[in-house]
Amino acid sequence: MDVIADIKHYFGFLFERGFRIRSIRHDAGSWIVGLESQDILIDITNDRGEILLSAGNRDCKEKDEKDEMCFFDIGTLVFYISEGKIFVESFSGDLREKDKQFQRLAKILADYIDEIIVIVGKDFEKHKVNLLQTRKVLRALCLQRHALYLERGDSSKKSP
Amino acid sequence: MDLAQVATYNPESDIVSLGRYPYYLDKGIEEGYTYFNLPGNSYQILQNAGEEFVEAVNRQFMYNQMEAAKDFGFSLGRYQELGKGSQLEYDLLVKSTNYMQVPNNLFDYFFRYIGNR
Repeated sequence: MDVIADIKHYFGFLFERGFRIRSIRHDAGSWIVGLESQDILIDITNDRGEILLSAGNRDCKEKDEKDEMCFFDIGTLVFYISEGKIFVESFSGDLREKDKQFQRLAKILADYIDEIIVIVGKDFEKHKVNLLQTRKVLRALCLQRHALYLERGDSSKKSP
Repeated sequence: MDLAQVATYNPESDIVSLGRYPYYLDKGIEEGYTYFNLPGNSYQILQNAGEEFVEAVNRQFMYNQMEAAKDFGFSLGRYQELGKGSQLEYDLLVKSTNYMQVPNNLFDYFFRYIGNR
């Protein structure tokens, strides 16, 4: 699978920190590569061409809690860590530009990996409720923004 | 049979499962809802040919399901945005006078058919 080589290339810093590949799932046009360290889980996902990154808590996942209670998208994590100052936009380029998507996400993750390991790792229970609340707020904001784009007749750039 | 029909699973269901991967797919398979899944590497072929080809098949799938007067549920799972894969589908439903967005316990966004069946 070429994607494993891409992940090892762009996310090499994770492997240097002890991460290893945990799982691979492949469906038509989409895939998920799961990574794990002793502290947290990281999923790199291709949703029909759009590459996404999320981090999850190991205990939560092992207890078989609902997926969305254990994992958080990089956008939610950065918004939470930056106390609402940084909003990670979805990739706006051509989805066929996989290298650009990998590069962009790897840079964001490298900038926040230390905080993410603490928040999603050992201090997860302390942050869990606030992370869920942050995601809820972001969903509402994204939906509101998309409604404005639709009103203006420009739905090509932002998604709900 | 066109590609949109080939990619339509559980066509007998009254609800269509949409949203983020893998949630829309898992929900479609586990609950028996209608879902869209292009066979083999056809998605890759369409995407390499250009986004407009993916969009054309996706649009046809949506028209087929909307004409069948089905309800539509979107699942976001761990994500805060639906993303490019579902944007077209969401917009078609928002703009349709036959659909109304209503709260639903099983989906993050749900559109109910309100036209004449």
